[in-house]
Amino acid sequence: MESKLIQSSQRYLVHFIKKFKYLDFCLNELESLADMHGVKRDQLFVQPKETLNNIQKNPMVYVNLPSEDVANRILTRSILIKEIIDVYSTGKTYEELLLNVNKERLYPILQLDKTFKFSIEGIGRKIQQAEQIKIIESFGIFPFNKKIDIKHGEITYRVLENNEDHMIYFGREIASNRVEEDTFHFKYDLKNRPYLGPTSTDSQLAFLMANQGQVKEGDFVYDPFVGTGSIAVACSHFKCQQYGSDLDIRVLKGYGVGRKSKNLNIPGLDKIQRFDLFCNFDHYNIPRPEILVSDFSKPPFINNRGAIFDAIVCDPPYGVRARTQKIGISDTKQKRKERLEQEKVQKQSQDEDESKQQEDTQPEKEEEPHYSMKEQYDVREIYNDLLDHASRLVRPGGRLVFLFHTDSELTAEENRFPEHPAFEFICSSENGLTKHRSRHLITMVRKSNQI
Amino acid sequence: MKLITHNILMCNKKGCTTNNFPLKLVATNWKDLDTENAQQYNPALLQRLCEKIEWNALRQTVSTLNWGVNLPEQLSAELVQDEAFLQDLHLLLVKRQIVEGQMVCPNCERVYEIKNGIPNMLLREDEV
Repeated sequence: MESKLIQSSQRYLVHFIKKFKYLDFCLNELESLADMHGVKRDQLFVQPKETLNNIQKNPMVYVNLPSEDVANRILTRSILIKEIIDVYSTGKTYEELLLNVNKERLYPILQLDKTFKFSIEGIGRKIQQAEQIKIIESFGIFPFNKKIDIKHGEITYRVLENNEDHMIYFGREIASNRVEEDTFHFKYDLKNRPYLGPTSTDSQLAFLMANQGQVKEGDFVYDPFVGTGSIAVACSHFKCQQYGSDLDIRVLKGYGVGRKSKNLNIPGLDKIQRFDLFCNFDHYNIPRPEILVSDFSKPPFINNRGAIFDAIVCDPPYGVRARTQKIGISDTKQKRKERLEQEKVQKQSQDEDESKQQEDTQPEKEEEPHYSMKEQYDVREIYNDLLDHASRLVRPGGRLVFLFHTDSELTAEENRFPEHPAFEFICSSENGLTKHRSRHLITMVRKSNQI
Repeated sequence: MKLITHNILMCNKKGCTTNNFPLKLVATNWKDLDTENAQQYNPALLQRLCEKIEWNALRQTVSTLNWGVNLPEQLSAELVQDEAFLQDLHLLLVKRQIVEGQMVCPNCERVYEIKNGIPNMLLREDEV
């Protein structure tokens, strides 16, 4: 702890939200946000990161941060941090907890002319009210002022009894996300979004992606598979200049693929005149993204004056078709698939015919997208293209963040994470979907040397 | 589509590799975003934008648009500190949207349509 590098830093306790889906994302998100404030990965965790892997059992982790202000800013945009605490004491028992209080640190806070409250929580055990009162009263041995205000106390003292590591913590909450309705991301929940796609990314996952991408004001951020824009919404919340492209103009324009929300209680839903990708941005009062129709295998961006984007954050289309055939599926399913495929092709050609006819008579009518055979390209190829193009589009030090699917019934080679010599792998977080299938949030940084 | 986007787009047609930037912009319909749908005026951000922009391409394009705006030949250090200039730039780069129009490659004359503010950069199979 005496290392010169962290001399000016202070130790804080981070308490994570136990969100089963995203347990594996907690440490990575914290690392990414801390890095945005200049805290390097090797200086952040008090204990080695590898020993902290069981967030489900023990959701509390000590970190070194330069200031309370930084702790506050990290928490403000975090999805998975419940609270950050300045710890004054720990103990195996409540007696020990009182005995170990660091008076030098606690007393200056007690001297502040501020109202306070206590908040007590048992992890793995419910602490009854009567017992809570006894605990609070036991702290009467310290010189607290008389301004206790159990509802609106300006300072919140926390007692956390963690029955997983059999440790009790006492400290001051410096920032908290404990009330979900009060978090910045609450209003972005898909339940309250006017325009949805068939595969809109869960808003919390989208924000975790934006945090891995370290998206900040003024950054140029690109989603080459923008779809109905759910990842772009999260990035745009952080005031970046968002770019999005898609092969399928119908997704962008709101017909065929995306749909209006069925939740009629969304405030302002009746005032929206046109349901398309942009209406979500207007609804949230965040800047509209710049959208292009373009095939990702041929990015139309200028490539001779250095990389333009600070980050690429995306969810490439997951080719279930190509994979399910490899692991073998029943005949009926196969037949159904073939039939659906055929219908799709027929519909496509019909659409094209229709649009041709319309074009003849009504030159103003919008063109149907042009499908090339590329549409069905192999999953591995999509990722190879993504990393290859990203190596030219992302500036050195900029981030590439994307989702990748694995399936334990596939070969190790098929499940291998994509790699590229221009990118340094930073971390991955696993979100299990079924017994065999998982998706992984992968974060990479563009290296500075030219490849 | 905003001018900053035009400023990073090039023709990608097969074989079209030189003189394919900037695309010749024809704006038949444009509008300025409401304050709530655009990023707010922020000098530091505009200065950052200036670093990303190919100035000559922007100046050239703006001069053909008849918007009553004339940009100076050179982007100087003094200029990016000038409030009036940054306000112009904010309008031009952050608020103004080209809703309908075309972009034409100066080299191969491939036309890219802009409809409802969305440029269609998709190539046909015989063009890739």
